[in-house]
Formats: sequence, C-alpha cells, structure tokens
Amino acid sequence: VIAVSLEDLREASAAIMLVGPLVGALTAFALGSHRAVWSLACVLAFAVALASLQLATGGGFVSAPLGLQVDSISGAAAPIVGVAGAVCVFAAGWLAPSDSGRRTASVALALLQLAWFGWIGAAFSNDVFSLFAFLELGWLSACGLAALGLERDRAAAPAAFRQLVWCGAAGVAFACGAALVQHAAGSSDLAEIANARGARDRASAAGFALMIAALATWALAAPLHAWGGALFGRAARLASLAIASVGVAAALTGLARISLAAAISETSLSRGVSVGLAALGALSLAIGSLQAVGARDLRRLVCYAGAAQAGAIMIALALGEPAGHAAAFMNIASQTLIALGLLGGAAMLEGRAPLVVLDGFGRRAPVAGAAIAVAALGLIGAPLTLGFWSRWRLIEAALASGWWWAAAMSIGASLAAVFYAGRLLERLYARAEESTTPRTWRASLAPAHIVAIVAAIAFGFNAQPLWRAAGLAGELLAGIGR
Amino acid sequence: LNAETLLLVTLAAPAARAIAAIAVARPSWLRDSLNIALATVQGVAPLMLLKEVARGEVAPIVLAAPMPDMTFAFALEPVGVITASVCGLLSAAHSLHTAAYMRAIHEPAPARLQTFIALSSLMATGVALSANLFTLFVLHQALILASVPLVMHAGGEASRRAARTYISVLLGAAFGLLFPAIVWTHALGADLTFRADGILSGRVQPWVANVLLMLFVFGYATAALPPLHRWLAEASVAPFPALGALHALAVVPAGCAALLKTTLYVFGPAMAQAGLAARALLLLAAATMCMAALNALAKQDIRERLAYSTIAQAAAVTAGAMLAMPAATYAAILQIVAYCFATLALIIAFANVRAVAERTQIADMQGLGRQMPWTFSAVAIGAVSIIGLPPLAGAWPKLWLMEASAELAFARGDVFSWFNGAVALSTIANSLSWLAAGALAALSTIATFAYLAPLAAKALVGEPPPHMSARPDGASIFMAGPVALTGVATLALILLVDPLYDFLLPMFSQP
Repeated sequence: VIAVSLEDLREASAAIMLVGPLVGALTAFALGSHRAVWSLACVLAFAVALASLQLATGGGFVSAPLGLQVDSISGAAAPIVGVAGAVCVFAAGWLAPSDSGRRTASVALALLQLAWFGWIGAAFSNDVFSLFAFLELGWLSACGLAALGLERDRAAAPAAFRQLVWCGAAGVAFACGAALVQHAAGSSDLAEIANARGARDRASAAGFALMIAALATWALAAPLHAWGGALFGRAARLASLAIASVGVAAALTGLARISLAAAISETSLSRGVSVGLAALGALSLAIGSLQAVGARDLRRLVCYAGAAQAGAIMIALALGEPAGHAAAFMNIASQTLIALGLLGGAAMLEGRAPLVVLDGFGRRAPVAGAAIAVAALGLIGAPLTLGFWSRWRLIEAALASGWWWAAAMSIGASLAAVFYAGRLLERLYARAEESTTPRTWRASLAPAHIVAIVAAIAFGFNAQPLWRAAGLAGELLAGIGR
Repeated sequence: LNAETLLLVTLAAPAARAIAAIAVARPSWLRDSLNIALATVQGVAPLMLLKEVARGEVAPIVLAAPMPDMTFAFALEPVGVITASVCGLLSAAHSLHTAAYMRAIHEPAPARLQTFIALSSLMATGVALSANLFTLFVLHQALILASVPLVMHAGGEASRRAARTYISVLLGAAFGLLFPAIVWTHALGADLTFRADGILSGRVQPWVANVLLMLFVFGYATAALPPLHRWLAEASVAPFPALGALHALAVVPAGCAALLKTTLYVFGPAMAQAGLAARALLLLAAATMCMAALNALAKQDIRERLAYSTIAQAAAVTAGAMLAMPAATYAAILQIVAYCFATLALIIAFANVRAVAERTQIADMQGLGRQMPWTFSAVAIGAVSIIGLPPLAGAWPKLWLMEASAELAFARGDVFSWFNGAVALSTIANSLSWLAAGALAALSTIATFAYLAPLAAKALVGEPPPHMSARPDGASIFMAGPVALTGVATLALILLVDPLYDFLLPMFSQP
C-alpha cells in the first residue's frame, strides 16, 4: 500500500511540476495585477519545488502528462529545474517590476513561468521532437523576458535580438538533427533510437551532431555562447537569472539524454559523439576560463564561468560511463547553485555590474554578498561546497577512464577560478565600501541567496542524496544498455 | 575524561575561542580573558592526549560522511598529537601576549584579529588530528582561507598584494597539485584513511609513486618549500600576532605536519618506490636550508628575516620526511617542536620591540637589550635554538638529519669501496646525493648563525640607546611575561629530547 501510495505521489508530483507553471503563466497573462499574480505564482512555485524534491527520491519510471515520462535522468534534473525555477519566480516579485516597469511586470512573470514550463517539459522529454518543442518554447519565452529589460537599459533589445538569432538558429539545427535521426532510426523516441543498432549511417551521425551543437548553444557552451555575454550584461536581470540557473540546466539535461542514447549504441556513432562532445567540452572549458579571467563585469563573468562549467559537464558526458554521467549531474546541480548565487547576488545591483561595484558589497549587503562568496568558492571547488564534490567526481571519472588530459583541464579550470573567483572574494570583503551606498536587502531575492548558500554548503557537508540521484541517472546508461 | 572527549575538547577549544572573540567583542577584558582561558584549555587537552596515544588509543571520531566512501574524521596518532600539543601550548602564551600587544599599539580591530588567529589555530589542529586525506585536505584549505584575513589585517595596497600572492600560491598549489594527488590516490582504489603501513603501499608503480610524492610535497605549499615559498616572505606585512600564527602556531606547522603524515601514513613503505623524487626533494630542501638562511642575512626588516628563517626551518622538516627512515622522522618531528617554540619566542620578542621602541629594522636594534633585557634574553635563547647550537633542542634535529644522511650514504659500503668497483655507479650517485644533503644541512647552521647571532649579540652588548625606559623591559608584564615564558620553554625543551624519542619509539618499531 505504501509503495503504491508513493508511486501515486510521484505521478502527482510530475503533474504538479508541469501544470503549476502553466497555470501560473496563464493567470499572469489573464490578470494584470502584478502583486496578485505574483502571490499566486509563489504558491504554485512552492508546490512545484516540493513536487520536484519528491520526484528526486527513488528511481524507476513514472508517467507524466502530455505523454512525458519521468525516469532517473528526469528524477535527477527535476529538483534542479524545479527549485531553481521556483526561486526565480520568488525573485520576480521585485525584479519583474524593477526590470520591466510596473505595467509589464505581470507579462514578465507570465513569460518567466512559460519558459519554466518549457524547461521542465524538456527535462522530462524522452523524445527528440518533444525535447525540441519544449526547449524552443522555453527559449522563445526567455527571449521575450530578456527584451522586457528595455525599460531599464536600451541595450537590452539588441541583446535579446542576438539571443533570438542564436537560439533560433540552434532551434533550426536541432529540428533538422531530430528529423535526420528519426529518419535513420525510424523513431523519435530516444530509447528506441539508442537500441536501433542496425540503423546507423551518416544521416544519423549528422543528426546527432546538429542536436548536440544546438544543445551546446542553449547551454551557453563556448564558442557558441556569443549571445550570452551581452544578454547577461545588459538584458533584464530576471531573464539572465532564469536562463543561467534553469534554462542551462534543462539544455544540459537534454544533452545528457542525447549523449546517453549515442553512448548506449556502442558503435562508431557513440565514439564519434564522444569525441565531438569531448572536443567541444575542452574548447568550452578553455575559452570560458580564459574569458572569465579577463572579465570586468560580474554578470558577464557568470556567463563565461558557466561556459567553462558547461565544458566540464560535456567532457563528463563524453566519457560514456555511468560515473561520468553521475559526475555530469553533480556538476549541473553545482552550476545551477553557482548561477543562483552569483546572479542572485548581482541582482541587488541596479544597472550594469562592473566588478568595482562589488567593493565592500559583502558588508553592504551581507546575505547577497555571502551568496556571491559561496558561489565563488563553489567555482574554485573549495571543500565543503558542492563545487568540490562535483569537481572531485569529474576528475575521478576522468582518471578511471584514462582521460588524463580531461583531469588536467579540469584542474586548470580550477586554477583559473582561483584567480577570477578569488578576485570576487577580495572585492567583497577586502576593499573599502563606498560610504554613500546604503545597506540593501530585498526580501524577494532572499530565497535565491539562501538556497544558493544553504544548498551549496549542505551538499558540501553531505552530498550523498545528490550523489544517489546522480548515480541513478548514471546507472540508466548501464540499465538500458543491457 | 576519555580519549574521544579529550580529542573533541582539543578541537572545540579553538572553535570556542573564535566564537567568543566575535560574540564577546566588548568589554575587551572579558574577550581577552575568555580567549586566554580557552587557549589554555587548547594547550592542556592535547598534552593529556599524549598519554592516551602512548597507551595506544586511536579514538576515531567521525563527524560527517559527505560521500559513501569518505568521512570527515579525526583520530589520534603521534605526529598529529605532538603538533596539536605544540600549537596548543604556544597558543596559550601567544593569546596572552596578543591581548597585551593589541592594547599597547591601540589595535583598531582586536576582535577580528583574535577570531582569525583562533580559526587558523582550529584548522591547524584539525589538520594535525585528521584521520584521513580527505579531512586533511578540507581543513588545509580551510586553514588557508581562515588565515587570509590575518595577512591583510593591516589594510592598504601592500596587504592586499600580499594576500593576493598568499591566496594564489597556497590555493593554487592546493588545487593544482594536492587535489589531483588525493583524487589520484583515491582513484588507485585506496581508502583515504591514514594507515601505519601506508595507504599506497603495494598499490603503486614506481613512476606513480614518484609523481604522487612530488604532487603531495609541492601541494602542501604551507610547508613553504621553494619555489612555492614567496607567500611567507610577502606575508611579512601582517601584524606581529598574525605572524605568530602564520609561522609558529598554525599555517607552517600544519603544512609540516601534513607533509609528515603523508610520507608516514600515505606512502609508508611506498617511499622506497618514490626514491628518485625523494632524493630530489631532499636536495631541494637541504639547499633551501642554506639559501633561505643566506636570503635572511640580506633582509634588514626583522619580519622579512624571520620569514626566511622559517622557510629554512620548515625545509629541515621536509628533509627529514624525505629521508624516510626512523632517525630522520624523529628529527623532523623534533624540528617541528623546536622551531615552533624558538620562532614564536623570536616573533613575540620582536613584537615587544615594535610596541615599545617602534623599531623593526635590524640596524636600529643595537643596544636595545640593555633596555629590554627579558625580551632580548628570549631572543638570544630562540636564536641559539634555531641556529642549532647544542645543547638546545634545535641542535638535535640537525644532528640527526646529518647522521641519517650519512647512514644512508654509507649503507652499502664506505668511501673506499666506491673506488674499487664493488659498488654500482647508481648507488654511488645516490650516496653522494645523501652526503650532499647532509653537508648542506651542516652549512645551513653556519648561515643561520650569521643572520641571528650578531643581531642578538649587538642588541645585548651594543651601545645602549640614549633614552632608557624607567620600566624594566619597557613593556608591560603581560607582554614581557609570555616572551620570557616561551624563552624558558625553548630552553626547557632540552629535557624533552629523550622522552620524545621514547614516546615515538613504538611508531618506529612497527613492522
């Protein structure tokens, strides 16, 4: 009875995760009052966050609305996109009117929830076309959200346009890739694609390459992240927070699924995908780290550091081993918390965020400063943060597979992070604060700060629950393969 | 009190010091009293642990299990407990001195300074008592981060620059070298818990052992082995109480203890397979003992001179660890004890000079011993111990190091047998490297004499300054007292040379 009840609860959780943001978005479109729709959105977001945590426990398959399915990968991704999305909705209480003006604040909130719905759907998709549809919905909504920052900064419009062009191109590439793969395998279902061993040909390889390139673009992997710097630096803060913490996690989950399907086949295609992912990952890790070292703006720094992290995750996926996939999910969780901490902290700053405005910020805004500091420590991979464990597992998986260069690159990225994240710490606490700036506190941003601090440290002390969930996602590789 | 409780008290006392310094920032007398009382507890508890270790107690304590195969745990073993005892005992004297010194110089942020000294002390104690490599790494990193505020306590561009170097070198080494070494050790299928027979024993090929040893030794940049030593010299901009923590109470001793624990409990017998790296590191450490001492001679600011002195002394510990034989291990452990006491005596003595006479340049200290007899008597004792003049405790580690080098050099035949073809060329090369290390260690004592002896002598017998203070020693009793106390303790260490050997004997007689 208990087992059946738990199974029912998990099915209900999957439904809540999909329906909650959709209801919130439709309500926000229908009603105009920002305060009222935000209150309702917060209630729904809280329910979605709880449901996502429920989904993370236990493995197996659970059916979800819209023909979707929750498996171990969705189970590992659910709490990441669920909790991070909920935190973005809470943050919208102040950020939406501040970025877009009072009149369009409810539209911003609606677009945010629509994007969230798309990204959750993408995390649950096990079919290339539904993955495409949900991701495209998420990115188009995020694009609209970014453009609403025009109220605050005129440069938001070209930044959003650049995003539209890049992500639109990625969408076209993904759709073409999906079509090619379906043509080759005779199915759009990833499990069937993985097991259709006789149907490998050049079309299939090209399809996978296009899908991976598209997902890497959405995941802000270098050098396909040219749209990210401008977007993070100039567009609406809410858009950059949502994209960096939820959108990127959804794209990387999609990438994990695609690479899983390729890896299971154990053919020349799996080797090709592995080499492609590894090369792109290495490039992203190197370019992202170098750009982050040279960054002079906090929000742009988040984009570049994110590119480095995305590169590390792609390398972990390229290993094609359960340990690599598990390490990838640890890294996705870590990256999400880092993005929440850095961009959530930076959201307190009006206008642009050159590093100099962080001088004394730790004393001016202690909680936001602490969120940035913990995220910076996570970037370095400091012990007792989740960043440490994610890096540890990645290096260990790389060494176990004999990929010495990958371990060395990951360590190199850590060293680069010592430089650029150390610089953030120095500015936060070692520089004199500007005496004219008042102490600041925003209640609606507090959940972002608190989640970024508490989760990063709590998982630093006890990463076992996360490791179990990530391990289940990794075991899927072996499970389906058998 | 059983061993587990004492272990927890040893760790809890510095933590309580840090909390008390923040929570009871005012009134200052209460903050200082609490700090001194808790530092005394921190000193006494590990002394009681020594008895437990002698009885063979291990008292493992697991505080957390962040991953299925990893624990955050502490345990008793001789090297750790001795280091914790030294740090604890010196913390008691240092806390008393710091309280008085901060009053004397009207320190603007005393609570912050005390908090980070206590935190550094906590992390160093944790490093010493860690039960596995994971715990050691976590606390080693935490120690680096906790000690950064000490380096930049004075504020200003120079402090920030020093802090930047400090973070880049120490964290860079830890993430670039130590972290991969630990992950690699784990990836070799080894449990990370320290074992008397060595974690890596029987698990590594010689080339892996050599690479791992290099990664570990340079990864512990807190032990200040060149080329990763600049952080200590640049940290000289820190105030004197912070220097005490960096040189003698926390950072460098923790680095030395971590290095020793690694060679003893991670490598153990596998040190034989890392022979090439060990010999190279031994030569580097022996050369450092000489070069750092010569560098110290060129420095006119006493803080910089002490920094190079500490680099030379820490290199002696590394040399002992690399020789990997009982006599050398004993020398390394005794060296940690002797140099910590002597260095702290020197640092707090010169802190008094800074507070009373506002002098930090060596040329300005001539004749000051007439005005500050207690202070400069402690300087003289500390200097004699660091130079390595018998019978002070600082002499014995160097002698044992030289003896161990000679023993290894002539283990397969004397000098005459080298020339009659009875010994292989590679063996002769190895023997020469050991002999060179021993010779460099001997030379370093001469260089050390050159930079410390004239300083102490000129201060004590030189022309007195024109305006003598009416008060004996010029400093308050709370400043002069700890200086005299550490001076006497440095002297009294002579009595501990034999008991320490007896205490460590079971460790060496293990199979």
